This record gives sequence, C-alpha cells and structure tokens, in this order.
Amino acid sequence: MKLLSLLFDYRGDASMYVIPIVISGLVLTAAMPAASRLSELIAQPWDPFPLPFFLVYAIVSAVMAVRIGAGAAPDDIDPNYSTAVLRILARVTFGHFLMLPLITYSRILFPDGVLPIVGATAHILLVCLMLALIAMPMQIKAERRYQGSLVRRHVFLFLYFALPLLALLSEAPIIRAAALVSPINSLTVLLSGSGSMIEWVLALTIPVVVGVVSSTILRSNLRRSIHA
Amino acid sequence: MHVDRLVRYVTCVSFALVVSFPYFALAAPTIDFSCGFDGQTMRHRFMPLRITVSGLVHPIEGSIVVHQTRRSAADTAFPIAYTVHSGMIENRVYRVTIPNTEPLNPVSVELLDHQRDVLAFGDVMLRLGTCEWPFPLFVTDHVLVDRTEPVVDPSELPTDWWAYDAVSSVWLMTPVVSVPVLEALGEWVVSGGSLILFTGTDFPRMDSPTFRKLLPVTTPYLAATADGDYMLAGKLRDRATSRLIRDDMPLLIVMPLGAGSISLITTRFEELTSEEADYIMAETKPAVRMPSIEQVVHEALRNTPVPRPPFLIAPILVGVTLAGVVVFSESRYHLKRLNRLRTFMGMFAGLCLLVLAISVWAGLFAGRYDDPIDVYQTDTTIRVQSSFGLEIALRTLFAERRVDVHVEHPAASFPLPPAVPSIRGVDFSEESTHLQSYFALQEYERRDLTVFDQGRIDIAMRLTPSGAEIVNQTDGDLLEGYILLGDTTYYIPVIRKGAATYALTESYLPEEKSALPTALSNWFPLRRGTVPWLLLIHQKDERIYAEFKDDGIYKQVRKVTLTIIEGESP
Repeated sequence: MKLLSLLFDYRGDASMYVIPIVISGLVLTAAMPAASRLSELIAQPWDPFPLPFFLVYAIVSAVMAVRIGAGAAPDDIDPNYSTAVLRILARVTFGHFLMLPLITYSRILFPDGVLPIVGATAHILLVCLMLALIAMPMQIKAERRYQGSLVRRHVFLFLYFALPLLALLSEAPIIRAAALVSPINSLTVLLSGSGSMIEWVLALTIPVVVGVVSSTILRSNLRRSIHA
Repeated sequence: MHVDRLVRYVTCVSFALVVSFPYFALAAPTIDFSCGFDGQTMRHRFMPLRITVSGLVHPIEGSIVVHQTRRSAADTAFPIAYTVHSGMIENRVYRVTIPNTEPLNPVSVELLDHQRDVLAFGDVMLRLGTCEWPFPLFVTDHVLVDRTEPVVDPSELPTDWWAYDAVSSVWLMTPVVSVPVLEALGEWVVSGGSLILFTGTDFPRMDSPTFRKLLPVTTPYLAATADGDYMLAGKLRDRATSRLIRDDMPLLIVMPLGAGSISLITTRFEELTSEEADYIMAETKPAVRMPSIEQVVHEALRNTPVPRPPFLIAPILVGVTLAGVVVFSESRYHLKRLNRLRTFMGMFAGLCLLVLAISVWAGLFAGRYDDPIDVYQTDTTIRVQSSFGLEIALRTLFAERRVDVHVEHPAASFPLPPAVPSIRGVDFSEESTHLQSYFALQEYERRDLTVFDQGRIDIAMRLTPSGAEIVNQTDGDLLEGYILLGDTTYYIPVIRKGAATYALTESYLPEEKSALPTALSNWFPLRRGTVPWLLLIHQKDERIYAEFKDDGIYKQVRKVTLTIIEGESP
C-alpha cells in the first residue's frame, strides 16, 4: 500500500488530479471549430491555435504542483525528506499521465507535426516538478513558524510566470532570452514551431536548473534554521 | 588554265549558295494568327483563334503558347498563359478557342521548342475589333461591302460551340458541309444560339444527316414554284412554325431547339426580295446566353459541409479519465481495509492501461481530421441533351489560406474567368494547359470559372400513352428522375439500366432540387410548350486530396449535376 501513500495524501484527496483534467478539457473543447457549414466558417474563421489549451494546462498544473509540493512535505507521520521528494515525483508525474488523452487529442490543433506537443508537455512537466520541489521547503519553513505558505507559494508562482516577461520589453537578444524562464513565453516559442535549437534547450533546461538550485538553497536554509 | 578552273569553282559555289538560300530562309519558322470572327471579339467571352505555323523544315517537339495580360485596379499586369498545343508541331493551321480576358492589352503567340526557347513570336491588338455587344456573323463567300458585321468563309468556322460565345446570330448564306462545324452550330443553338439557314438550290450541296438534324422540316425536297425558282419543302416538325409564305410555300420556318432557335429560309439569299430580307432580319431572334446562376452556386458553396472533429470527443476523454480516477480513488479505502494488495495493484494497472488506450485512440483515430481543408469547391454541371448535347460547368473555389490550386477541365476547353474576379483577389495570373489550369488563390478568396464542353448523354426518353419509355444506356441505375411536361411534374424513383416503360405519377419538384431549374427557367424552356423534359439532379460531397507541384492540398468538393434530356411527345 506504499503506492497509495505515494499517489494520494492521507485524506485521499483526488482533486489535484481532477481539476487540471476538467479545466483543460473544457478549454480543449472550446478550441474545436464551431462551424459546420462554410458560411459559418467564413463568419467565424477557425484557426487551429493550441496555445490557450497548453497555457491553461500549464497554469492549472502549476497551481496543483505547488499544492502537491506543500502537501507532500515531511510531517510527523512521515518525516523522511527523500520520501517526500519521491511523493512529489510520483504525484506530479501521475497527474500528467492522466492528462495524456487530452494531450494526444490536442494533436488535432497541430497539422504540421507532434514535436511541439512533445516539447510543450515536457516543459510543463519539468516546470511542475520544479514548482513542487520549491513549494515543499516553503511549506516546511512556514510550518516551523506556525504559519501557512499558501500566499507565499502563489505569489512565487505568479512572479515566476509573469516577472520574466518584462525581459521582452528589451531589444537585446540576451535579455529577451531571459523571458524563456516564464512558461508563458516558453510555451509560445515551443508551440510556434519557429523556436531555435538554443531556445528549445533553454526552455527545457531552465526548469531543471531553477528547480535543483532553488530546492537545494531552500533545503540548506531550512537545515541552517533547524540547527540554529 | 588555272584561272578557268578557279572561275568554275567560284561559279559553282555561288550557284550552290543561291540555290540553298530559300532553304535557309525556310528554316526560320513564323507564326501568323487571327482572333475572333473577321477580327471581331467581345470582352470576357470566348473567341476562336487560328494560328498558322509555317517555315518549319521538319516537325518539331514543342508547344504553342498564347499570352494575355490582365490589369488590376492597382495597375499591375498579371500574365495569363494558355498552352494551346504541345507535342509535335508542323506547318499547318491550329484552331483553338480561348477566353478574351483583356482586350486592352495585346494577345501574343509564341512557338516554343522542347527546351522552351522561343522560335517564333507574333502579337495582335484586339482593341479595335472588340465589340461591346454580341454581333451577327455572316458566313458567305460574297463580299458584303455595306455591312460592318463580320463576314467569314465557311472554312473559318470553329468547331467548338463556345467559340460562338460573342455571336448573336449565325447566317449560313453559303453551304457548310463540315460535320464538326454543323455539330458545333447545333450545340450552340441548344445553348441558346440563333442560326439562320439559307437553302433553296444549295440544299443538295449541304445535305447530310447532321444538317437534317438542324432542319425544321422532315423529308426535305426541292419544289419548283410558279416562277420557276426552287424552294425547299418538307413536313414541318412538331414545334416548327411557318412565319413567311411565298407562292403558297413556306419561305421562313422557325423552330425552337433547346434554348435557341433555327430559322430556315427555303431559298437562297440572293433570291430574296429586299422586303423579304428585311422581314427575316426583323423576325430573327438574337442568341440567349445562359443567365448567371451565381446566386444558386454560391448558395451551394455556402452550404458545403466543413469537416471538423466532433465536440464530444474532449468531454468523453475527460469523462472516461475522471471515471477511472474516481473508481480507483474510492475503491482504495475498501481494498486497504481488506488488505488486498494484488487487487489494488491490478486496479492501478487497469487505470494506467485505460489512460494509455484512450490516449492512443485520441491521438490516432479521434484526431483523424488533423488535415484541414485548404479549398472548398462547388462543381455545378449542367448537361443538356437535345438533338445535340452540351455541357456547362461552373466551378467556384474558395480558399481558407493562400494556396496554389489547379483545376482540371476538358481537353482544350479553357475556363472562362469571371468579368470581376473577386473582391479579395489581387492576383489574376493563370496558366492553362489543354487539360488543367493553375493559379493562386489568396486567403478567403473566391474564384468562379466557367467551362464549356461538348456533351453526350446516353439516355433517351419518349412519352407514350402508357407512360414514359426511357432507354438508359449509362453504366447503372439512375435515381430520382423528374419529367416536366408543361406545368405538370412526374416523378420516377429509379430509372433502371436498359429500356423500360414507367408509369407516370404526378408529383412536384422538391424545393431543394428546384433552385437550379428555377434559376435557369428564363434560359431553358423547361415549362413551356408541349415538349417533355427529363430532369436528373444529383448532389455529392467528397473530400479530395489533390497533388500539385510536389505538394498536396485537401479539397472539400460539392458536386451538383443537373441533367436535362429533351424527350419526344406522344
């Protein structure tokens, strides 16, 4: 029954899996063409545009990821940090696995190939893992202070998504590349099909680097605060 | 001695050069061509083209290309090219029929070799010969010096019925014996043309089975009048009426045929009095061109179905996944309580398999509409079979994005572009071979093309007292035939292959099938007189993948075919 504790918290809450499927499913349904006759198509042209589906999928999954990260934090029942990390990996991966039918169906929005879908899905998975890994030490730290981490987690989430977009205001290519930190810009680049190899590498590497570095720093800070 | 020999050599060489000069001169091919009838054409109508190739030492592999240009409002010239012949080219006259798309610019003809190098070139300006309205055409070997209408020799008459597109009436004042020309004239009459035949003592020279199909009389013979002249006589056909009498014999007999009419003058042109000639001129109806059915065609285009993925698939995927998650999530308590680990693992594996299975289904099968339609097309074909057969096809194309398209058409029947191409159209360029036309459609551009062709329908219908006798020699059974006789409509559910007699059941033409015949009612007399017409109206939607220049496009095509067959009264 270890699998059960890996996939669900002690309350057995399945909403972290259900909510992204429902909301993303609604957006995907809305992205389908409404016209059944040419006259309707002329009045309401349909341009296959996958970005809204993947943006909503990324945002809802990110919100759920910080929730998973906070929920998987070591507690009195299971104080092992490594097991907590394993829980995060299992829950985030399982959540994305359940999204697989919608992701494969979104291929209908890509007449020219499946590579952008693979890239965007991989990016969202890595971002969610990163956010969950960062949310966990934030939760532990807040608990030690007998505080909640809800606001802090979501402010961080908002800043992570929005703040790098300010780099797009710059003309310099190097500064503009910093906007790839935001999943909004990364997904736009990956799904446009016009992204260069460097942009693809950056989009997929940044979440890994940020996740590893941030969680390491936060964990070491946590240890220092415990020893202090 | 040496001087004599030298003089002899020089003389021989000079002689050889002089003799061979015409040979070298002959090696320069030339092109001479004429457009229209006696140089007269009409804008946005078809015109015959006679291209004379000469000067070729031997037949060559190459092509003959006619160039026109069309100007847009922005004063940009767009090239339009018609490859009117490709293959072996020799010294002879090539006859084709092409649209006169822009008379303000010159028409040029190029003779190209197999490497597409220009061997000969010629051009002509149509501006002075372009008429604003259809004109009468006189076919005679007489010189009518006091007339401005075109006068042509019988040998100049084209063999495509749509070549007479700009003509209001054809006056055959001299015998025409060419069967293809007579067939073309008959088809043109069925399409709405007006043909005036002069016979009299010329009749024996022009008599042929095809010519008799044009005559408003059966069993024709020459009868002598009291004055000693000879006039053509015979039994009037059902619909033929005598309009002018001379010596108690019909001088002018008019017979409607299809949408047009044939006027028979039973004597030679030279034997008419001026009063008779004036009367005949006044009685002659001008040609009726098929009216625009743009509204009906565009309605069909607007109603063309758009292939799309069903809305329900995404909710179904969500529902199935959620059901799996909920069942798995809820059952874990009971399984944990019962400590049934294997069942729990089995359920987890089942959930994973379910998700994988619907993922594969969603990606491979539910998403089979992943190739969007590039071009929506409506092919409206009107096929008419009277004494002569013809076919008129209107092709309307609409592009969702900028796309290069090609449209197939019958051999050497080039499509007629519309007078006003489209509101969105900015590129009128077109390249046509004898079987296909190529052009680019802009995003959300619609383009209409009209293609004319000869036609033959292997169905014959005759009304008998017991019903309708129909001989169907097509490949199979035909569904839903309607017989129109005056204001009455009869319905035949299935017309079987072969000959059969069908009892007539009074019915009506359903609304969805009456749009096209109603739009054509001012052109084709389906509801007039005592002539029965058999109507077959079929519609089919299909998705076509068309390859073009190493690329392919998806077309959603709606094919509407209206077949009109003239029957015989009891």
